[in-house]
Amino acid sequence: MMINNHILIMSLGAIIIGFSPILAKAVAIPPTALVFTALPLAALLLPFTC
Amino acid sequence: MLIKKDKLHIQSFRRALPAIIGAGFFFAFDLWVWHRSIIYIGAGIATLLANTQVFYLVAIGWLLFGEKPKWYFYPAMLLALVGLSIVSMPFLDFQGINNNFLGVLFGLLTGISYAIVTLCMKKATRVYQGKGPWPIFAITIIAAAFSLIAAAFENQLSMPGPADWALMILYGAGVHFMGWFLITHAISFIPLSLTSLLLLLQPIFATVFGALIYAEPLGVLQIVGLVAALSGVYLSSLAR
Repeated sequence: MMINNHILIMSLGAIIIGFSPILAKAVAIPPTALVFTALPLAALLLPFTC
Repeated sequence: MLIKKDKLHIQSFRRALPAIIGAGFFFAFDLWVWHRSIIYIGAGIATLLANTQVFYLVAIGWLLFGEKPKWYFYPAMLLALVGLSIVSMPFLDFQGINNNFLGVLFGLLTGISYAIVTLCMKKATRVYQGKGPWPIFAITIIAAAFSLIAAAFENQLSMPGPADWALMILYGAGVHFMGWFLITHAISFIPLSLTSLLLLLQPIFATVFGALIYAEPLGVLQIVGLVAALSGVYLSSLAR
């Protein structure tokens, strides 16, 4: 039962990550600028993953 | 919170620094080529090509560390190559270097740099003896710094509009943070073989979303190619 829940959680995570190239394509700003601004945002939230 | 809970272990962090800088550089390069690949050939195929990293990891593991893969790695790789060729075929007109050709090339380079990031990250986390996500935190910041340098060279430092800011926050904090948060929480409870299979949902859904939202090409032949490529990638990941 526990494993099933974790399978669902991981599947949801993979599906959400699958949406990232869609969003990247939607943003009008140049790709490198997008990466530069999005990465620190992700880094700031990293400690919460542990 | 990170500073209070898990103090930085400075000595081992210094020893891990070359691997951290290497991972940061190649992470920035990975995102540079991947985003261009997305623009040139579409989200689905760009993400599928990025998943070829497993082949490069096996090759590096074999050549540098003598880790010979299991026998079924070779047929699995052949299956994936056939699948990838079918999927990429509409983009390869072989009439010189155009955006489609560059898209496929950048997609393959994404896989190579992704493999190098994985190896550097593995080395960094092995060398670093402290607790907490300091290596990955440093890698992300260093990748952002390299991206800033690239953006400055490309003259791409213009401020986006409010709608782009919203999408960017959703991209950085929503999609990347939330997605990896869920994956890292579940990963230690799930067998490796199942983890490899579940992570393939990423290119599958990128392809489906790409077809639904951007009307990216997804015919019967491409679905056949996608299934073959993903089966090959999955079997290869088990053969390591």
